[in-house]
Amino acid sequence: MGILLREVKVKCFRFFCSEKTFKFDNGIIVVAGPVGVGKSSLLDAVEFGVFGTCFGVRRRMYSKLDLIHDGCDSAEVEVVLEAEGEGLYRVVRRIGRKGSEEAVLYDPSGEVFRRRNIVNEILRELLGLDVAEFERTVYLNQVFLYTISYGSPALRSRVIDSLLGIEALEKISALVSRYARFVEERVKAVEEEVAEIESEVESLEREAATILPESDVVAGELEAKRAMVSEKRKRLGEVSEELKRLKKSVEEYYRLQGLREYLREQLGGPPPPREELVVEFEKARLRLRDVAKDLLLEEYLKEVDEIGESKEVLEERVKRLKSVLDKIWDIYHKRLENLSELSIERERRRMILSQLEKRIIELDPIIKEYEKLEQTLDTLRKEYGDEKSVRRRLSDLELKYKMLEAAQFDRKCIVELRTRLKKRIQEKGTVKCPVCGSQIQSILAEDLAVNNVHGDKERLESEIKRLREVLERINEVKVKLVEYEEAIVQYRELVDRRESLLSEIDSLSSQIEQAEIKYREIGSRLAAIERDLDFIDEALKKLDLSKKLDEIEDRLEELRGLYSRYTLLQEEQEKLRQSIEELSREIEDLEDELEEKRRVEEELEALRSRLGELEERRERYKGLATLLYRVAEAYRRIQGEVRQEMVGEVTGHLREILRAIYPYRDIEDVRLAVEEKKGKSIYSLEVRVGGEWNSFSSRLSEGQKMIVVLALLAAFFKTVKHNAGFLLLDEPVPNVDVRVKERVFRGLSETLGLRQVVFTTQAVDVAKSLEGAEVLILERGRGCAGK
Amino acid sequence: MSEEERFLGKSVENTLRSKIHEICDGECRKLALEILEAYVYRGERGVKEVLERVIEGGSSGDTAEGSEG
Repeated sequence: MGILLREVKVKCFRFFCSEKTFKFDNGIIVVAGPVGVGKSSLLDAVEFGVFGTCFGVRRRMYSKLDLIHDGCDSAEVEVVLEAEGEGLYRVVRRIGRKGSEEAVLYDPSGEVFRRRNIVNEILRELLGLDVAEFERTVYLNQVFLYTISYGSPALRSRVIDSLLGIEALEKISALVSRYARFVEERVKAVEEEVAEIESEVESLEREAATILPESDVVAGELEAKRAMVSEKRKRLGEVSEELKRLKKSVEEYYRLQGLREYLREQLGGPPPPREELVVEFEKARLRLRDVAKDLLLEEYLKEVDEIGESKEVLEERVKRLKSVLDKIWDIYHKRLENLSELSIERERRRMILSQLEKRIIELDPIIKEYEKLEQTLDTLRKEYGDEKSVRRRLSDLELKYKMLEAAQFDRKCIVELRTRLKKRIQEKGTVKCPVCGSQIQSILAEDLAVNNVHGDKERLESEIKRLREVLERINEVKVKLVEYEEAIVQYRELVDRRESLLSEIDSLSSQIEQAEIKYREIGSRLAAIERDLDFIDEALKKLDLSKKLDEIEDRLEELRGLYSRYTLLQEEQEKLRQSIEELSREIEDLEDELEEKRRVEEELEALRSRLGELEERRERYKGLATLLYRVAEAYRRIQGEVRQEMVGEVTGHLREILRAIYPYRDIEDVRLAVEEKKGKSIYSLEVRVGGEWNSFSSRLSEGQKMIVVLALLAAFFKTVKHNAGFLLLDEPVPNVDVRVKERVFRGLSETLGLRQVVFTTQAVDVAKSLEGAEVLILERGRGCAGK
Repeated sequence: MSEEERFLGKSVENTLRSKIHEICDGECRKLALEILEAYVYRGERGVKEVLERVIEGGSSGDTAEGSEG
């Protein structure tokens, strides 16, 4: 079955900016046009349509997104293939700017497949080629041509191996060999570990050999010591049991010992005999009786007498007497309290006295003034007499003064009259007497009598004035005395009260002093009685303690035997415990020793086990390394055999194709040879020219080289079994003339049994000159390729 | 599976399979085929995975004793 290319539709794919459709008939199809018009893009479109990828993408020369024409959001390619006898397969592939990809396949039956992996698988099965095989057999690009023509021998060999499809074998072989070496290294590492563990095993085995024979002796010794421990534990149990029984008695012993010490300490020394205490008690009782008598406490007097007559034990009597003593003490204290009240009263009166005296002192200036006034009054009385006589004298003097005044008036009138008469006599010579009517001719002068009256009057006036002042003074004094009278009365009362208070205070002080003396004495007697009674009471208690002490001593004497037994048992118990402990330690040591032996054995066992594992692993690794080397060797052998077979087959096809496509006879023969150099297979392409075999690169022109290499690639096409009925050649022989080119394309078509050969060329004239060839001319137009 | 995940042409694979059957047997054949299968679909990475698994004892490779090449 031959698969033929019928149609290619491109839209925004690589150099094509718009939608273009190319139809392909059988025969030679030449895609011609200048550089950059989309010739190679058209061939890439075929590969993309069939396989969903391109040579450049697979070689990472550009990404899939670079397949989309600049300025477009997506690219679309549709390829129609014809399967002879079956029909047309139409595949549409679309790739988006965001990386989305779609593939739709319409098979001849009209069935549609949309899953990419299914589409790819169907097309791969249809052509019998995968993409790598497609690229090295059907779509022969310039990379292979130029690499084989001008590459180094090593590079050329790699390309030829790649074209033969066997380069993977070398990789696999190398990889497996590397892993085999890695496994060998592991074997070495395991062997080293094995050696180390063997050494450890040996060492442990020696150790085990020295200690293991002693194990029986140690086990026997261990058993004997365990028996001893068991026996001692049994005895310890018995001792512990007895100790437990004795424990209460011993505890009592300890307790009584402590109590005895306490009692001894409390007693201090031996107490006085009871008889002596009875005598002392009687003395105290009588002294208390006296006190009761002194304090006039009849009731208690009787009680004390009753106690004296009582037949009770001394302790009881002491108790009762102490009770009476306490009561008397209470009364004593109450009376003392009363005494205190007297003292308080005395103090209160002293305070009143103090206030009185303060008031008296305040009144003192008034009193002095009063006394002074009294003295003044006395002095006035002494000097002028009493007030009555002063008044009488004053009245007399006033009367006398009035009389003098009248006499003075009379004399004054007489004088005036004489003066007037004298004057008239002088004027008239005679004058009638106003009194007697007689004629008077002269007047005697008597002026002196008038002047004497005046002097008396002044003396009287002075005396009256003085007496009046005295009276006035007396009145003033009397008024003031009356004014001070109240204060004087108050003062006198205060003075009297002060005297009374002083007397009362003296009386109280006397009472208090006497009472204090009395109660002080009674208090000291009561205190002495109390001390004596306390002493007797204490002595009685000590007598009691002494008795208890004797009882304790007796009990301790009884317990001493048990205590000694207990002590002995304790010692035995301690010794047993120590012995058991010592034996336990020895047993532990022996057990450790046995454990150590067991550990050595276990360790030895673990090491032997580990050794076994490692030996097993080592053997496995050894086997694995051998296996890997065999696989690597097998792959190398397969590669060699396949290479030789393919080289033979390729050489046969090469000769045939070269004869068909090369019109001249200067190249007599051609062959592909392979030889091993330094572990690598190096291919050489040789030609026979002038009867001699030489490397094709040394003898041929550039054009001849291209033709030979093209023949070689076509030979690979023929060697590989597939269903492709077309061949795609991208500018295969740029440096040869038109005749050769025509011969090449026709020869390829014929020798390879192809019905379609599609090739690209920039030489449009050559393309046009090819007889019978379909020519697709691509031209530049608005930045896009076009037909 | 897409063609991009295939590392060896089908015709070469078939040739190699027949060669492996021809020159290997037992464990060697088994491992060689396993390696080939791994290479076809996962390339060298697949071969490494197979070999590492075999070394760690996870495949028929761990019973390499007595295998004949």
